[in-house]
Amino acid sequence: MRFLTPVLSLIGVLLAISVITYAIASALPGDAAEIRTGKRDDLTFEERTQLVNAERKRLGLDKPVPVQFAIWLEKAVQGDFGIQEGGGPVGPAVVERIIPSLELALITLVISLPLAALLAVRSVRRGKRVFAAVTGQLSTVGFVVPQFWLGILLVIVFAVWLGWLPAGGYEPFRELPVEHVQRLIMPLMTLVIPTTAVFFHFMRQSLRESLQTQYIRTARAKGLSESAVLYRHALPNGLVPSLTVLGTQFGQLLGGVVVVERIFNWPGIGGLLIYSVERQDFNTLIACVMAIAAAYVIMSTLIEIAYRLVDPRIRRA
Amino acid sequence: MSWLRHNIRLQIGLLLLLPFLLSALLPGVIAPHSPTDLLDAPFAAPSGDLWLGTDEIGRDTFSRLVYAARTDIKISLGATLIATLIGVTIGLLVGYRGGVASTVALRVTDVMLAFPSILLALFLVAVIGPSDYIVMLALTILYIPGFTRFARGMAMSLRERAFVEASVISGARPWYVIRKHLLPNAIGPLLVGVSLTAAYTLLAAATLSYLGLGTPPPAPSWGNMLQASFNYVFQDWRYGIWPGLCIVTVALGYMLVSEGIEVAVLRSGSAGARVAADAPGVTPITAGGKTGSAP
Repeated sequence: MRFLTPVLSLIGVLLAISVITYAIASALPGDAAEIRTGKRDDLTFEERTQLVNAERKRLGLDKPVPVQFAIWLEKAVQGDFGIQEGGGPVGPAVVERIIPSLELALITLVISLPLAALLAVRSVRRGKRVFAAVTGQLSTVGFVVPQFWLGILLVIVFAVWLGWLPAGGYEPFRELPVEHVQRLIMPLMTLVIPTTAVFFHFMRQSLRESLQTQYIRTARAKGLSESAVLYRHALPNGLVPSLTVLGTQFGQLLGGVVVVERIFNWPGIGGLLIYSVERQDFNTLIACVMAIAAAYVIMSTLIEIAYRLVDPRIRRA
Repeated sequence: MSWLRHNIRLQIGLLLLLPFLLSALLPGVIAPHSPTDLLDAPFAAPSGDLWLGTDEIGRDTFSRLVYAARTDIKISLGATLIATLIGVTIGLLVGYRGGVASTVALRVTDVMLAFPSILLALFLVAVIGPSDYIVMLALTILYIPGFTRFARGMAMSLRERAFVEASVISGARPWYVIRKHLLPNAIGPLLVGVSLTAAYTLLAAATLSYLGLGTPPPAPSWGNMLQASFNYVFQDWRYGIWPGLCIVTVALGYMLVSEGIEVAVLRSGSAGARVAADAPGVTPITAGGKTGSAP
């Protein structure tokens, strides 16, 4: 019962997003039938309109939008997202592209979270004023530096000046593991730096608040070492509020992934999304939006469940 | 000017913004050349005439940066101010009246804030087509919910204060109370959020432009200049430094101004400042749960 509510709301949110996405995509000027028919200057206006209408009928676009949506939804839940403009099914293409994107996003989280926690704990420690000041300033810079500029600066330093790393690209891990990791370093750095800065800000804030509480005073009073106080008493309690931030941050991170993929030529979902927009490929466009939304919503749900597990007050409510 | 004294963040912030605001207002006076004329060979080195050299087809990089300031600041301030106007009006109204409208407003903003902001903007711009005004519109929609929630919270909390009650008892109409009592008290904390949002919209606009979904070339924007520079990073790496530096300086300026205003508001001790002080971090951004860094 405890996990039923978040899972149900997950399905609800995904459904809502699919309705909105489908509605916007249907409201666009020019539909798939128009595009498939092409300009056809050899035909008169009436002949071309006839062709378009025939195509529309074939694709099911002559039906009312809600009916179209119902058909789309019925197929989508079975994993069939239609055909791409260039041919080939949409589903596998989207899956193929979202894996490299998730790779970036998840590794970023795995690095950023512990790093931010470590930095936050150190910066609230007594007698670390210089460290606190430096990390505080650096994290502010991490907030404002746009990711695409950070990426360009990294390329200038590591690819142009030093020549240590390739400026971008992608190699499959199974065949060329070393090359894969080489091309992974700069995109990861571009994502890890701002993400860590944000987590650091929030963890430091909640650590400072938890240091004011009675249980920390008790822990200090019974003579625990500063490390024990911070890591065993302050950190676990200070991390709970940060979990909520993790949810919104994962969304920001997915947005960042789209940008970073573009900079480093990483073949992820963002590139496919932009490409499908340029080609007015609605099936792919909708599937891309749904894939990103699903990643985000699933992550939020997992966080929600984790939140209920760590905080007994919510569990009972 | 007492609010400016002893407020180092506000001073530095305004100082950082000043040259860019001047560029945005008077690009023709400040820029020595046209932003679109071909003046020299591509990637000419900086000289007395072309201060930062030329770009990939021989246009003056400095002049392009100056004209781009107008585009970028127009979009960021435009989107921020319209979002503020709409968001605050709705927020104060539903917050003061309370009831079903208030709850509905809260839930709607919840949903809007839950979706990754840059993706929403990307989707909107992608669907309607790239232009300065579409970017402005998309960013406006994006930042309305934050302001709505902030103003709603502010109104709900000020509504309970004695001076508002006194005004209501003496027969003031809702609109009068909102204008005379709620808005003046909310304005300080609101400005904190406005300048912070300006930073976010600037970064978001630059991101969209970088992705090719913002200002269409040949008109310059810092984002599309960065995008262009990236294709030539091995020929001339200097080209990619300047637009990014402009973006960071302006964003930092907005943020420092925001922090400076926060200090000034807390010092002023108005009723609104006390509300904001009771709930730390209540700005239009954090109130909406928008905690993230730049998109």
